[in-house]
Amino acid sequence: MPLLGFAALAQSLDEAERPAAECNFAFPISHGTVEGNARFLHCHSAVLARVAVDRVTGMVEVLDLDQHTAAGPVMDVANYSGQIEGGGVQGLGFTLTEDTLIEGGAFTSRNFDSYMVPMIADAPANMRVFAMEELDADDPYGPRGVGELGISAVSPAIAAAVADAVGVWVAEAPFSPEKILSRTGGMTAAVE
Amino acid sequence: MTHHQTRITIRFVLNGEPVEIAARPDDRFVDLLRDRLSLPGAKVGCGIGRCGSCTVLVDDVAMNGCLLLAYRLEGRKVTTIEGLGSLPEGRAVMAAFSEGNAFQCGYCAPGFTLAMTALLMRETMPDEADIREALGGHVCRCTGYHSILRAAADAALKCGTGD
Ligand code: FES
Ligand code: FES
Repeated sequence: MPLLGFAALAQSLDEAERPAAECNFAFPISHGTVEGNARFLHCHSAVLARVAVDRVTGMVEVLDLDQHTAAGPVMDVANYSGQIEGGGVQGLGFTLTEDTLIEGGAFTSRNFDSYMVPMIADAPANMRVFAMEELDADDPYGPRGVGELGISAVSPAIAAAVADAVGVWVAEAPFSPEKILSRTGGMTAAVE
Repeated sequence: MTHHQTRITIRFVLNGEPVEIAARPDDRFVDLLRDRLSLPGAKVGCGIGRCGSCTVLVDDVAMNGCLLLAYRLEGRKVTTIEGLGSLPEGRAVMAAFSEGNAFQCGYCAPGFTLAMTALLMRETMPDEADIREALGGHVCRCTGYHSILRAAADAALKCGTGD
């Protein structure tokens, strides 16, 4: 096998030659309250979703997803948009289809036939990613990492779009067709 | 499930080289590649035909290596991600996918790359609907698919202009 373990890889270099890095960072955490502008810690992105809700089946489809993030200067555009777009579709999955069901302490969703990850057909037709690169003068935390950041605001954006479309707020993900239909009492096709 | 203990000899062409291997007829092809032929490019994501990470080309058609039983390989021509550089369409797709930063962790990359190559081998000017359909059986957890769609459109362009 043309494979090399990490230990063997490390041993192939003299100790002095081995790359090493050290860093320190105090992660800001809150215990429910934040001094000053809470947006600096909790909320630095805005998401807008446009959805179509099928009145007969209760299926929700996300047509467009626009994501705006104020995290500071973008160092690498591909990585940045990758995190935001990838997070967007992951958030879409968490909101509409992905659910880990547990029964008697064991997962019943064990593979991709029962745990439904969005695929290309489920990805929004249009996704736009923006970046607000300037930091506020009184922003105490400076530039932020955007790893997985794209996920968090997608559920509320889709919930707001669904509420706007069919008049009910679904507060528990995933928004299954069953949940939508039972909350709306079933809908009939729109009269042209 | 009955498990055949008898091994049969299977001959096929793998990345341009003739291969002869003794295997059980119902061995999964992806396991033969990974465990016996030292080609770990095809991955097993689900093992049930849902994710596309095990994709290989059989006579230039993209197939799930986890659903392909060894006996079906007899006399066929197989291309894996390791042999993709020998195809002009494969080179165009790999160039476009890497230049466009199509992937993140890369677990899905061999599957998408082979599926896109197979599309370009049968369709010279695919549009977005063709691309979405050809890549529709592949799971990607990381990218949200749009970087892949952009790079795939670029690959189609590269191929069309013979770049
Ligand atoms: S491993 Fe074959 S389709 Fe998922
Ligand atoms: S890049 Fe990670 S699964 Fe596609």
